[in-house]
Amino acid sequence: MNINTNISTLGWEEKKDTMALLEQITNFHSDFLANLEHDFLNDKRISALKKFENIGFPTKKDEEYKYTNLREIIKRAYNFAPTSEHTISKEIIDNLHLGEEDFDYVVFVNGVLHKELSKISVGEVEYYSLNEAFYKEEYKDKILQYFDTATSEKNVFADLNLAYFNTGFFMHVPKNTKIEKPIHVFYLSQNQSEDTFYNTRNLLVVETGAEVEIIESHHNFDSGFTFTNSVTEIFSFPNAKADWHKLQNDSENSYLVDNTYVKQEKDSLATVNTFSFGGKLVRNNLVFLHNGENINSFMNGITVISDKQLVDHHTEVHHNFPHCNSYQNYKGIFGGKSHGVFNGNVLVDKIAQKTDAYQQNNNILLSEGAKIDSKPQLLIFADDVKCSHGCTVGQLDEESLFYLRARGIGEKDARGLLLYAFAHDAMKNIDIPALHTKVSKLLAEKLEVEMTF
Amino acid sequence: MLKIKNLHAKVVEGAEILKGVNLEINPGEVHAIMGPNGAGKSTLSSVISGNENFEVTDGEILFEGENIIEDAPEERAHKGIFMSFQYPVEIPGVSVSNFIRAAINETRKARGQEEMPAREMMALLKEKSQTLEIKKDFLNRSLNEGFSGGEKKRNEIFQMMMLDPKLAILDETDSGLDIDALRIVADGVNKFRNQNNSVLLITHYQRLLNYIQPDYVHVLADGKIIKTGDKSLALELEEKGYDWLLEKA
Repeated sequence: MNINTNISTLGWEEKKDTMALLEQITNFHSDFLANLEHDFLNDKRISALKKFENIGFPTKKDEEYKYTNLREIIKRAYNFAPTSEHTISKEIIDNLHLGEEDFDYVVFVNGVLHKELSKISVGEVEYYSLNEAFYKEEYKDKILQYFDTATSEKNVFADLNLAYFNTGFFMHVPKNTKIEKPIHVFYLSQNQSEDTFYNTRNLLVVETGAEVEIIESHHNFDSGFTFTNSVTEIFSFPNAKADWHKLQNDSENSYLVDNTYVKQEKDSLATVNTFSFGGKLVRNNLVFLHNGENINSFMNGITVISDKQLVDHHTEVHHNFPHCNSYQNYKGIFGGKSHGVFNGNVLVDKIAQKTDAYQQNNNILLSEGAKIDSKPQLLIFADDVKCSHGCTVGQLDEESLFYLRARGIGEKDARGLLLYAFAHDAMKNIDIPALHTKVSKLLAEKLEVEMTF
Repeated sequence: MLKIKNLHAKVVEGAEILKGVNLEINPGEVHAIMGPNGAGKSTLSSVISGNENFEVTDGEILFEGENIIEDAPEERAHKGIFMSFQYPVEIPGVSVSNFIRAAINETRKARGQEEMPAREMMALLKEKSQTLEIKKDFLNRSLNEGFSGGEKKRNEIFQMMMLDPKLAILDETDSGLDIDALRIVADGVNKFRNQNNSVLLITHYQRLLNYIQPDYVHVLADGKIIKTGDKSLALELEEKGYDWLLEKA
């Protein structure tokens, strides 16, 4: 691909401040398509690009992006075709583990799946990189049955992803298969000489009665920036249990727009937990769609950020059927000049009687420069429902602090311990002890609390 | 052990609550402070343990001969002062045993000692929890989260026994306890007390003093100690109330 040379010939270096990325997106697409090994999605990709171009990147005038300015992401120019060369070793992967050596893991480096760095012990389950699976006739039809059917019409980042995705994780869990070990999907970026743009795409299909736990994390090892625009579609069939945990603990030179869609059939359970500790700017668009009765949906989030980081959680739960429950619990701790956004939407259709929807967002501001914009919203058209929502913003309780100090624990540790306790509540839905410990460790590390777990 | 001289204290940016308290507690002694609501009993315990919501405006608090007024709460704890809270704080995600381990090791670190070896810690946890009839799974529960009033108080006494302070201040430890829990807590305190340590009981009712025999009983009213006597004073207060003393003062 000769994308790299295009940047200099077209002189975009000089125009970096004028939405360089938008111009690249328009100009690179035909080259991108020409270099793909499959072409059966080309029509979809081209129309997705048109849709994206018609609307463009959201600005602060857009109600959904009122508090989150994307300018710092889109003013940059990126390399769309990262080099696949890298020096990631087993040892580097080991260092990313935290008490999860027993888990299975799948490692992508610079957009390429590396099975020699991965470890998968489950035999009966199909897992591939999405692009690899596309080339196999036996999977192509299965994938197309689900692919892009849960995404939302109105999300330009999903359009952009459809136009440009070329990497990702695909897993199909057959009927009544319970996968014992969690699977950690790593996306690593390394050895890139320029800022790099990734469009990753994940597809998880969990058939009737099956169970799986996925952990996803992105890691930029370079001093240049990465911008990852990720789309994940999760399908949870009757009596299935699909859990997806996002560990957003990337370097300060990374941007992430995560678009996750969960479509649930009757009697299914699905959880998406989002733990946001790192990254310069993270936007999470999380959508749950109910397509049957007796569904349970869980969304938990812990955000701990400082400096000039921004983490934005946008959630939408579409209660389209009766007798379904949804539970959202988001905790935020903001230091430095960091900025948090929470915008939660619960939409209850008029036929969705006996809906039980809970939504809570609690925040602690640690410094004068930190801020949080929190907007919990309910839109209810049914009359026999139980819905609650609320948000709080506060500081640490002085009496609690005194209690710990009177027991001999120094002020700094006491603050850390109380913050840990505040956030910990949102970890209740992690039912794998090793993962619970891992997230606890990450949280304690971020809060600089010393604890033995 | 503890010598309080002419102690005046107020709520930061608020009213004066302690208006010249004098009190001396020697090693091996148990003192009880009683008094009507609003007398300043809990303020006195908070000020001795270093709560920064209160400001000392005059007087001294000497602990083993050293003025501790400028010390942070954790420094006072390291010196050997313990306070059992009337309303212990809930800390989700931190187990009782982990919390106690952290408290003990922080204190040892401050005294220039090594951390307590894990085996020794386990043995100590086992011994003290048996004394207080605490079940093993209780130690793994999140600190005070979802505890009943009695469990919280018992947990406070458990922490006291584990930390083994020189001076233990028990602030309204009897409130919210049924008679069985009261007996267990009192047993714990009686096992704790010896010739080298001291106990300061803050209580509204005489009931606790049936189980823990004090050497001295003081009546605190309107920020001053207005009467001191032996344990018979507590019985007299139970019978007559506080009004007769307040009129005299």
